[in-house]
Amino acid sequence: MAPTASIPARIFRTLSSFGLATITLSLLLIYTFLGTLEQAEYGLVASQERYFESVFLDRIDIGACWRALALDAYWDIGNIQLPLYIVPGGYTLMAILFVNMSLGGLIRIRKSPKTIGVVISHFAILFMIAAGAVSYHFAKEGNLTLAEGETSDEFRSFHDRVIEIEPVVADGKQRNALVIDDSLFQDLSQGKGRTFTHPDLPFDLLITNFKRNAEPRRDTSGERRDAVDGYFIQEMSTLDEAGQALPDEQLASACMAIVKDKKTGEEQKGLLWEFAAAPWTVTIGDQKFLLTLAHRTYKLPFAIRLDETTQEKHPGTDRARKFTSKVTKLSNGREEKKVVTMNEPVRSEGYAVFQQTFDSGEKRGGIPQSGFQIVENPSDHWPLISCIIVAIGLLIHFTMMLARSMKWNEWIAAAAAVVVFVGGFGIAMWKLL
Amino acid sequence: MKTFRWIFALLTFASVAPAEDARLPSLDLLRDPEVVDTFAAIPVQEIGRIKPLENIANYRLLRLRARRSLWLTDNGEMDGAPLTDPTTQEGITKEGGKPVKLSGTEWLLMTWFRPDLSKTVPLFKVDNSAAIEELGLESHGKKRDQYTFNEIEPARTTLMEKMAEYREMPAKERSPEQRMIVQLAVNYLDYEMMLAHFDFIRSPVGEDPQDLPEGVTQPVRLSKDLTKFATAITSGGPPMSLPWFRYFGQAVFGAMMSGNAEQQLRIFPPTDPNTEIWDGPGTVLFQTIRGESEPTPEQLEWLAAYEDIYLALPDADQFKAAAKGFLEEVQTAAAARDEGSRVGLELSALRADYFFWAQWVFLVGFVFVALSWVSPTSIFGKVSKGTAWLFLLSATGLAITGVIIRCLIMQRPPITTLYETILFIGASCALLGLIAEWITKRGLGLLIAAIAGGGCMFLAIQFEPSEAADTMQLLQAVLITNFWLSTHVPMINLGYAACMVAALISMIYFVRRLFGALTTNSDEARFITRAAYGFIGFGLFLSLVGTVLGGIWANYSWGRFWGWDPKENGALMIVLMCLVILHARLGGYIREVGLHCCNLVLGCIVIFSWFGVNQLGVGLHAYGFTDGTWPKIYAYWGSQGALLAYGIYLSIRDRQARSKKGSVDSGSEATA
Amino acid sequence: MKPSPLCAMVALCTTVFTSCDRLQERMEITETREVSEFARSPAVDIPSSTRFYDDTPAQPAAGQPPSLRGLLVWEVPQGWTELPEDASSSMRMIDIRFGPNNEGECYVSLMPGSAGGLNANVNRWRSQMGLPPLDEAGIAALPKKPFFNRDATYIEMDGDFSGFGATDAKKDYRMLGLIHSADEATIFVKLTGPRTVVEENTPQFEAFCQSISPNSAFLNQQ
Repeated sequence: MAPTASIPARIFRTLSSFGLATITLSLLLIYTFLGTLEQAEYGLVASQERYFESVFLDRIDIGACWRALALDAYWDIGNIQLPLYIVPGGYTLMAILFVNMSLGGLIRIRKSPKTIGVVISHFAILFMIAAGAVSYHFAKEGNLTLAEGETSDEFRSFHDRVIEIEPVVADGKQRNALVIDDSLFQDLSQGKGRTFTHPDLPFDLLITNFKRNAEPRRDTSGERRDAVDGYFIQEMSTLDEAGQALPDEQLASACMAIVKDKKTGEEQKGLLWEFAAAPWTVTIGDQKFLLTLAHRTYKLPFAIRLDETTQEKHPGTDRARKFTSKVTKLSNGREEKKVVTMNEPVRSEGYAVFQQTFDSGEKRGGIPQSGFQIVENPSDHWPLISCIIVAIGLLIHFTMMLARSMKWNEWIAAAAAVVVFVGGFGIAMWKLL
Repeated sequence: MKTFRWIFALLTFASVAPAEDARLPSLDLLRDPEVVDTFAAIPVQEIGRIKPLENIANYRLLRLRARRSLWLTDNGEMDGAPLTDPTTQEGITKEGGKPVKLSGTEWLLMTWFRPDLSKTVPLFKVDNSAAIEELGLESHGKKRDQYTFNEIEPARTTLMEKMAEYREMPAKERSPEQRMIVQLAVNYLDYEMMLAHFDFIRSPVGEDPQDLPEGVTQPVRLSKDLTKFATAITSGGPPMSLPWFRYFGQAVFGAMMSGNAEQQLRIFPPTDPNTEIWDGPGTVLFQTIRGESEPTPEQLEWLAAYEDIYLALPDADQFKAAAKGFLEEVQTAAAARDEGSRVGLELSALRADYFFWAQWVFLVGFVFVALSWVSPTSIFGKVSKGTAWLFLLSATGLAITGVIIRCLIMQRPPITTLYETILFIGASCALLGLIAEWITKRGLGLLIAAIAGGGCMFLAIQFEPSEAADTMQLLQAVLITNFWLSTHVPMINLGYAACMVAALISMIYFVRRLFGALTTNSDEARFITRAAYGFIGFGLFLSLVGTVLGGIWANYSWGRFWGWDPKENGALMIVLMCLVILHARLGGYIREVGLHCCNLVLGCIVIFSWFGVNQLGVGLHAYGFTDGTWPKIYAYWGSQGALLAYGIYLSIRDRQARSKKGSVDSGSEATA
Repeated sequence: MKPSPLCAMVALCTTVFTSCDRLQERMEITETREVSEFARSPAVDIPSSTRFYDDTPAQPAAGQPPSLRGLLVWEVPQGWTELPEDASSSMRMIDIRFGPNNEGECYVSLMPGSAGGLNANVNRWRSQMGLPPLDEAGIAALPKKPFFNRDATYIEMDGDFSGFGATDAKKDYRMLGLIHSADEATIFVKLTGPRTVVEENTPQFEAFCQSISPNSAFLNQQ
């Protein structure tokens, strides 16, 4: 440690230090632990956002973690939350780790035959973090449920919600919709509101009173001030009876929408609810608009028709053994038959279609339904590549360490280990996949 | 569980004593090895898989009694007074007046053919005598004890009522007594059905039935007259008004042997290869009287063959011949379907009981390891060490054989359930320890093999009664892929094993420090540290690659690489902890004691992600819910916390000593 | 595509600094999408009650236990009409009307446990017919009829009937009843109507009672 180092050199040294790596990794470890515990009461999506995708971590719900560990059986500490300020979130930590690893693990590291495995592994992990970032920012994933005979070229996001405004057009004309992302209205709880405008719209849209899980209730008293057309939004718990968080798919968000005519200033109020049977219709003059609160819709470059779907069970049980769907891919008038089954997705034009669920359709007239998960991920295969590289890197490094302490020839040992590993993996892939 | 409810509803109305049995065989006949082996080998289709009858008998006994064998004594244990045979009025003893011990299959045969005796055997495990008192029965005084069928029977109605009531309560709100009562009620009804298994031929319509269907005469053989009964039941008036119907219904449920559709006794392989589901005595009767389908001639032949086993009694030779004939028929029919070929292998594995023996051989090995410490350099020490090698090697061999045979039986890679992870990790830890010993020859590896191998075998054996279900289960649809099951899963579990070994080494390190057998930076301490470091490296490699492979599996099979699922997070935490240890050590933040302290934390994390995350009750991987796992995890964490506190004390002391000496720690550690 | 957390952070900071009154905040919509040709045709002008599934006021909540009716099978005698299952009077498992103007009423109900005991139930019915209560010996002496494969207590009473909640008693009525009381459950069959109508329908009542039995098909499929 030279005492006279310049400031950039000192910054470089800090950013590339083992100390920063240790601290960042430890924090990630703690976040992973807490994020796992909080899933019990907040659900996977919420705790993932809070701990792993956040820039800053805003608080830790110690009470929830305590209960997740069943410690309340010994001592119930009640609801304790630890508010935090300017504590980096998971996203920031990953970014720091990326910088730290690039500087420390690739640039600053002493390059010698001894460290070759380490350098390779660091490179592979950087690649993996990059894959994660690309997937986080650019991947689309969602599901599509089709009954036999049905066709669709859209799928719905699992967790992203939107408000859509669709002007009603004459039959046969191209339909378009304006889309408002949920990041723009999720914060609008009671008393907060935001007005959304668009030059083509004859009205402004004010969204307010957003609830993550709610149910419209009939206003039997007729006196509620927040009632619209005889209904009001009743907020519901996001926990089930056992105190466990409901899965995000079962949450039905709702909000109040106020449409203000740009010309007359006249206001119309409506309730938007995720599980509503139909959109809210707004009429301005002779033009009608449909407003919905729903999961985000993505378009596929092709359409899928479900021809047949079947389920196999283990004999004598109700346990599923296999779901299979025969589908037809329709693109530009061309038809192509495909089979999607468990563990064997169909990949096409950058999209992967996975068999996810099956429903015999007994409750709806016996037409079976098939649920597909659809993913478009530019970094789809990156993890596999980086996994192979990191495996080889670590194998070289640790075998050489072992060889040195055993006084074997380290190069031969490392080469043998790599050959055995890659060979074994290759054979398994060839024989079993 | 829904299945039970309605059958229970009917059973609560109908519990009738069957006619006196004129064909009671002697217990000795049922314990005749020839008879036992024949019945044990009968292939049965249960929960979607073909297995030997012995498997079913063992797990049924395990569920009722939490043991896999039963002594015919007044307390069910070896030290009790022998029971008296209610028929002969003689004490049940072997030569020399010793009490008799029954295996699972022997117990099942006794239940089927000697219900009179079976009702007097202490069978139902009750962990909480308050439950017995709540039923209005007299408890044995001890908190935990076993009760006979006859002891419970007077409270049958109360038991059913209370069960119906408690079942409606959410599981979380039930008190231990209430849980016990529900469990006892389920077990009792199950056993009632098992006792009535042969009632369909023994006494299908009661002793003196009125209004039997046209053309049916006593003694009734359902293989001949089933359709006549079915017509009488399905046509005309309500079946409950038929005077013999309650006997008949009870016999049918007995023939099924379980209220759970998946666990009914299915032992008749159909000839039609397109029918996947086997028939059984109960299922044939049941579907016929429900008017679902006429019994086929094939089904009636099977039923007749099964009846013949009972009708051959009490003559020993005829009984043996009938049972063997039936077994051969089932085996031939199964083989014609290309099924049941591994039943024999499974039976031999059940009897070999590899993990039970491995546990004891590990223990003996441990004793010799301990003996070798007495004077390591003497002849005695060397001989002890050699013997320890021998025992540990055989124990590891037994454990590995057991794991491999399970793979062969199920035709799939070694790990699919929590139970199997324990077996696999135990066998791997032992093997890793032995390999380490072979390389280093310092005795540490042997100790690890003995502790980890023996500990995991013990854990596995303890784990079985808590689930009390067949440990070879079918897989969920998404998991059926041999490639990933044979790469990702073993790898991640080997990673657990390596990290557990590292933690174990650190525990050994601290315990030896505690006894003053080790000092910082001594040669032995450095060796231990190097070994721990090596295992962390190995563990990091396996957990990291294994975890990422899991992500890749998920990505290629259902379209998401990483979902922050608790089990995934657990694996990630292990990887991160290994990385923290390696980087902290390279940066010089931790030295010898610090490294061992961190290893203890690593061990706690492994235990959390191995057993704890399943208890959080969320996520895809929550497969092993077992009551009372948390206290055990806390006990482990607590013990590690104590060692950790000691480690921190040592580290502070070392630091003070160093600063006194003013000497800087040599750089040798950092390059190790 | 997800908005980056960094963007969200910037947005957060700007909103914190710029807007004090959140209701004043304005934002232009920037995103559009084409609706697929396969999408469902637009549902325009749907009333709120339909949108919020409120068209069936007495919609049974999901998870309600299945009706007890499925437990039994029975035959409705000639000339009797069975009412459809009505959720609001779920106490009546089977509800039947008969007689020239459907003035006769017969229903089956099931109570868990002993439902207060035989005596209380018989005397409750007696009071409905304007009769004094019977003592235990009197009740024990009541005739028995086979029902549900057991013996059940048979009651036949004449009097002025004032049913549950009724203000005026109906003159010259007859009540027939069967009570099968067991520890687990009590089953009641109760028939009321003008005496002449009931007299005509007594054989049908007997046949109806005999036809009631547990539904094995239902027990099996569950």
